[in-house]
Amino acid sequence: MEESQQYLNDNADDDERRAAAQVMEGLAGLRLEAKVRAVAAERAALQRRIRRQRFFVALVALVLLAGVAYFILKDKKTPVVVPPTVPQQQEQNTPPPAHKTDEKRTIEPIAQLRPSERLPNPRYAAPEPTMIRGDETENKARKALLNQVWYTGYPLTGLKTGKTFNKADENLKKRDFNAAYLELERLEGQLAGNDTLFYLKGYCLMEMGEGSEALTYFDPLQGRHASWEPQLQWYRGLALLLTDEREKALTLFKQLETQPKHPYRRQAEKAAGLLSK
Amino acid sequence: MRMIEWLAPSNPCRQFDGNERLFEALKRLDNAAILCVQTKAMPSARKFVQQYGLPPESADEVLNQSTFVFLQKIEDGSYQFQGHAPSTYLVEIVRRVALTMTRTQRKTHETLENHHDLHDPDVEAAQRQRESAELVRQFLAQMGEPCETVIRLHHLDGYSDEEVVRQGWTRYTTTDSLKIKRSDCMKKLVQIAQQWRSLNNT
Repeated sequence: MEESQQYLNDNADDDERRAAAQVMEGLAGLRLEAKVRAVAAERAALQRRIRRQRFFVALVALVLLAGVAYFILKDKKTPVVVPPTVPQQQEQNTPPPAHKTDEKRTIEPIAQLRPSERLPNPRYAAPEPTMIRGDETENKARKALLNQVWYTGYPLTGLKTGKTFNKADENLKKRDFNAAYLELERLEGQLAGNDTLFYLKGYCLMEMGEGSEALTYFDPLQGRHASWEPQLQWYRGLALLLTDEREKALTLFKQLETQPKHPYRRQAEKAAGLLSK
Repeated sequence: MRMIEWLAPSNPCRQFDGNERLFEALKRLDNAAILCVQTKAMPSARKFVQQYGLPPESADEVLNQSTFVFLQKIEDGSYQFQGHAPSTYLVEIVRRVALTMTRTQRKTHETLENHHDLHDPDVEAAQRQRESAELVRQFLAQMGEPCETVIRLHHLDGYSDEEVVRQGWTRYTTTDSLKIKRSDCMKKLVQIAQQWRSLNNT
């Protein structure tokens, strides 16, 4: 930068020198002011950018949190299935000795077990299937197979029974299937074509080992009630096994095991595995 | 690439790997260097503003005034690098400027006698320089073109004569003619200042 001296006249007096010094001081001040102003503008831009960055980061965090919350809530909203192996609350309901000691397992619903957990054995033994063929060995093998996959339970998932079915409901809870059947037979005269009656009767017959009869009640219900459907599909599979229709049962179980959200996926997987052996 | 830059943490000090390099850049009035020390001093400015009961929005003004004093001290050589972080010195100036602002506010309510010991020479020198700057701004406006531009390009914007001639920002096509014109303009500016001083008995 040029010095103030060079702008002075040769015979400059003190006043002129002081004026020149003031001018140079003022110019330096203007230069610094301009610099400070420019940097202040840059600072403001930087602060705006930081605010935008923080907002963006907060937004991303919010979206992630919302995503996590969505997946958690979504999982909770999946159909609440009455677990097939939930024990009946009645005292007279005596489970098979093999499961008596495993308290925790009997409480935890199979359909809600984590994938890493091993599928426990069924809570109840399968009924004696109606003997179609005379081969005793074959029947024993079928019974053994049914015992391994007999994941059944009452009340039925998604089914709401009214006062009309109180007696049948009580008997089914007690697993007194004969009494339940007689009551449902009585009701059938009054409530022909009632879906609730059909489902209860189909279940009752299945638990009595009457697979073919059970299917006559289950089949018309297919696709009619979304909340019943998953359990109905599984029970149809069991009824097919009772009637020894292995191929049809296997096809059905394979369909179920491909549905990740199906509450009986793991049971179907097990059944398909056993049938494929 | 622009996205990565946008997302990268904003740190104006990143390019200065040591206090000495930062100080050298400050001597050159490098914008990034000034922004770096300001960023470091800003939290202190906010703290002092709160401590001294100044309005929160005055933190920016305190920092700007402090930066002015700070750069002035670097220019006149009264602040020399001694190994310490330059921002430490700026923070000290911020404290004094904030204190002076507090006193200025109080003065309006109290008698001047109570404040005879409240002078801060650095802050006052900066104030004087700002007043001189304002006067020179008025004188330059009074002179008009081409003197205003010729003086501004050299003394305020810091362009070399060669650059000014090359860019054609003035009517002067050689550095010699530009220098002669600027010398002439500066003499006129000094004369205007001298007249102003005699009129105002300063």
